Amino acid sequence: MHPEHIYQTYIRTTPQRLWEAITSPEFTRQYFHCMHIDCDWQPGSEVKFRYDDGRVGCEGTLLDCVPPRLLRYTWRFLFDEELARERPSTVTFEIEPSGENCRLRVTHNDFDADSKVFPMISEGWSEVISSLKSLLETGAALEVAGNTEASRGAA
Amino acid sequence: MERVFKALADGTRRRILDRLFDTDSLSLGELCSGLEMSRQAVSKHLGILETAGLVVAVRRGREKRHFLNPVPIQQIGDRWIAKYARKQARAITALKGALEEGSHDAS
Repeated sequence: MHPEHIYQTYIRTTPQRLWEAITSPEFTRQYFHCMHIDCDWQPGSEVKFRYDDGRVGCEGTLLDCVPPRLLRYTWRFLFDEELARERPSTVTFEIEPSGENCRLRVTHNDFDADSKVFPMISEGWSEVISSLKSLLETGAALEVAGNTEASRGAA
Repeated sequence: MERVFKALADGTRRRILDRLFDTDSLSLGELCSGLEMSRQAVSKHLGILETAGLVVAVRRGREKRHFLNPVPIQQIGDRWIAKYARKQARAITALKGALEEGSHDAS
């Protein structure tokens, strides 16, 4: 069995707004460790997560882009030389309307069995997704993910 | 959030989450083999964990795999910890973990 993580949450928002939050640089920098996503949204194109100073923290290749339902790209972690040498893994975002909410499911898989990135990312994704939920529901991302204004997560 | 606390208030369900934390994902059959109770009882506990959002069941080929979903637990932390002293709180839990040598909560 290959290592795989799944994260899921329900967010009080529309599929369009949630799609915008995961694909627009202005949104991602608020909840994704201050990085903005950069891509032309053509499958096969590069996806880059950049800091304000231009450095790239993560990169990959866009595999699927079906707004506002499915986004999938490969993922390579560039923060550390050893980790950057690992084969890219795959991140999938699935958005499913559910009453007045949207179900967001993030699957991160396709790791090698001995991946060093895999055990490191779990907490990171939980923080990012919790912060994304807070941003969409209250208008403020959480301090832990790089925003200066702490906000209380909705129950 | 109340459903999360209710789901976590049971030792068997915490044990199920511990197993999913250690192994990424398990089928119902694999989960039952480590617990001394009926398949029906394990299935009922899993249902409560799924309703609370702590477990996500996903079909993989012919079987259903159960994953631990850490997001609701993160939200509890974000609500009461993040604003104050996450780093300090983490240092204290790491110290507690080191002193107790990783023994799982049995109470």
